[in-house]
Amino acid sequence: MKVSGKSLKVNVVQSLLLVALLVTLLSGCAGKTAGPGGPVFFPPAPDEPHVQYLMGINDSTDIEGKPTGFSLLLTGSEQGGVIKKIGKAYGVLAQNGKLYICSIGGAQIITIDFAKKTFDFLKGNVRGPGSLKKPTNIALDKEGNLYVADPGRGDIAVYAPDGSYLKSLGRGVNPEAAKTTIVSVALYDDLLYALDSRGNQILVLNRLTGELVRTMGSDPDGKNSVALPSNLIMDPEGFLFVTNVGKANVMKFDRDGNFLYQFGKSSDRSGGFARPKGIAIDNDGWIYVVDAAFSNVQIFGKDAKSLLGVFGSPGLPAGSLNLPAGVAVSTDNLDYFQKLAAPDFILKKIVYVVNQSVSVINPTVSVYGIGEMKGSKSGGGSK
Amino acid sequence: MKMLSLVSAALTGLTLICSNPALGASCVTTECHSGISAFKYPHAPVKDGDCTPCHLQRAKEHPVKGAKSFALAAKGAALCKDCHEPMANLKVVHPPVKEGDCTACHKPHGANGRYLLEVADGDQGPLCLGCHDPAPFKQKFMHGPAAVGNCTECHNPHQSAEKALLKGSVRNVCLKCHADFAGILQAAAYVHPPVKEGPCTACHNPHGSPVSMFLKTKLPELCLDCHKPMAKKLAGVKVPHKPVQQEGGCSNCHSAHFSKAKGLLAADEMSVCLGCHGTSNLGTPPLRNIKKDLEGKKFLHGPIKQGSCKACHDPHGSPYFRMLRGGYPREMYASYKEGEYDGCLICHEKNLLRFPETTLYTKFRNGNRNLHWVHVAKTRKGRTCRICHQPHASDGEKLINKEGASFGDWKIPLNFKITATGGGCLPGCHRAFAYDRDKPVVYEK
Repeated sequence: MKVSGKSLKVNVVQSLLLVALLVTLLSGCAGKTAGPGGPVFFPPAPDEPHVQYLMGINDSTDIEGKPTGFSLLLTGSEQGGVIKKIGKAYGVLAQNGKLYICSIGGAQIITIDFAKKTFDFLKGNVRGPGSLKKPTNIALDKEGNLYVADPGRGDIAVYAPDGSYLKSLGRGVNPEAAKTTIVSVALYDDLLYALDSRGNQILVLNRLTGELVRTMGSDPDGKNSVALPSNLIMDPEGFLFVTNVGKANVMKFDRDGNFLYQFGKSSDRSGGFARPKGIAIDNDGWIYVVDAAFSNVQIFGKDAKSLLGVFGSPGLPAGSLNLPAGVAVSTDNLDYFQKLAAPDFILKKIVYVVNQSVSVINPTVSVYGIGEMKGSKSGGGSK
Repeated sequence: MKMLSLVSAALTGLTLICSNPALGASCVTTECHSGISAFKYPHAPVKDGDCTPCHLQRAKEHPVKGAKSFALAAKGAALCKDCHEPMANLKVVHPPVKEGDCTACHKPHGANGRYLLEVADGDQGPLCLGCHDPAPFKQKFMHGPAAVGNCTECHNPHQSAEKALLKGSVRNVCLKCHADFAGILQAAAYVHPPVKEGPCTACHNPHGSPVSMFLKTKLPELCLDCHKPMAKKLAGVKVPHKPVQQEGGCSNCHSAHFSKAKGLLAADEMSVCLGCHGTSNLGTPPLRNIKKDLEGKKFLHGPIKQGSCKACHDPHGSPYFRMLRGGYPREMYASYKEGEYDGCLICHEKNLLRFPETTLYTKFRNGNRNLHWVHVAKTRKGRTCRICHQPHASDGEKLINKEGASFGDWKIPLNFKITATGGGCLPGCHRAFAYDRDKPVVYEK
């Protein structure tokens, strides 16, 4: 078939337009760095801001940058151009400068290295014993091994620092419980604390041998027992905090299993909860609790003696949460995120919150900065 | 003609005599106005015998019986202004000056005191108190200048840019004399804010007061007038610190003006406390001699090691036994209840006595058995900390009471020993027991 010069020219133009359109469409999925009306602060003006919504993360383009038109044509290439999506997520962990996201929709663990601008799937999560099904939460030991609570698998899948699969822990360790559903994990030295949401207890395992050391979080009269627990976190001092949907509260335990105190109750007032989910604790002892029903994060002071603030509540064109689950807090990568903050808003901590209901205005992971305005007299309340 | 010349010469001579200052000499003769020249400090024109700057002859005849042939050249201050500078142009003017009534204070012809003031031995008191309320000047404690009637040492009697006709700002007026104080103040590490910035009269009555150091009110009320939260606190204490209530109040421990020590303490914290608690005759019965307790001891309680008593005791008083900052039983035996041992547990592990089993909160355990809990939380006769530990200092590690706790006349020995994984004791309380964290000792029932 003979193609005229004019026809060839038209085809080339059409192809270029198609590529440009594709690039434009895909770039629309990338995270937004600010609200449409400028920076989104919590609390809003005229109050002094303490939290700023910084950006959203939905897929690899938000970290690695948008693929070029050329790389998009190379679909399937290992060198870029493949947009890796997170999918429906639940738990999130910020440790060692990286962000680990548990994708229950994608049955995947995503590791984001902000410094290197990489967005990686877990290497050992391939067909076979290392295959994940519904990873909900994750913990890292001091050697960098990953412990993934996966209720779909019914165990804790352990991966080496390079992502290769090592072993399974927790399956069948508790014959007394009719059914065990491990949804969250935490570590202290060689002990692995596994939150059993169906058994309403915490299983304490030896992370090296997998042996059940003891159970905790359950007492005979139920007064100091966890109830429909959703998340577990170990604070920097080695105490365990559990969010309880069944009691609409947070309970603190020591590593021996002694119940220490609880805070929060079923209430729509400040400090109250309806469906407490993710929990994170920073180095100042501040406690961040996600409420899936209120779609917000409440920040409590050390030992929950005071409520420091609330952010993420619905109703904003950007920065609102929607069915949030996991939360993580870190002081890593401040320089990376400072570029996204308002000019005079100095970041001190970064908070990552997972949205289970994703939309144009609700990314999979919402990133917030805790900080203060330059010259603020309040000092931001943070070290 | 010769006669006319003589009369003319006589009249000329009389005219010259009458218009000459020397005329004054004729005013203060022994027959007339004799007292005017008798003052120790005469007014300059009087001294010069010149009455005419002030007095003008209005009638030819003088003296005239029942009438005045001389009148003042002007009224009030207008009479003085030809010779003296005007004195009513600053912010604050002494009312007599303002009214032009110079003679309210000054004698126009002369006086026995300087400046035409009728004062004896420099004591201006009677003159000033002729108008001013004498009450502040008749107090038990008097400021020196006020006591000797040297009012003009601080006040300008005519006018001033400062309130109360002071010669400068209150602070400068005071420091003009108290120069040594000014020097120390500049070098002081800690200065009481009113001293640093405010007038001395915030606390002192500059004239006199019934209170020592002519303070405006007695202590501690004077201090509490500004230190409101402390006033509220002192009103609520159950166990007061006696010096706060005694004469001197706050100043028994604090320096009112400046100090080398934090909190304006008269010296470093430990020295201030041991200033009283370092003797064996304080109170009835006498309080412990803490200085003696500390001397030569191998182990000191952490806060004491850092020179602090107030880490445990509130020096202003507290609701708790021994002015502690938290609860602590007065009695020797008291089973643990939440809050009752906070005096110790504010710093020490707060979960120390909560759980019978622990791996976290104490090393004093047999296996996981919390032996602190065993001793203190037992329902019958829980042993208070003091039975085994000294609160201030000891020769025993962990402040173990080596000498033994006082039990009437007897000192209960502990014979406590520590090993790498546990320890043991043979006290006057029970038979010998050992404990081991790693390999728990099985006790005979």
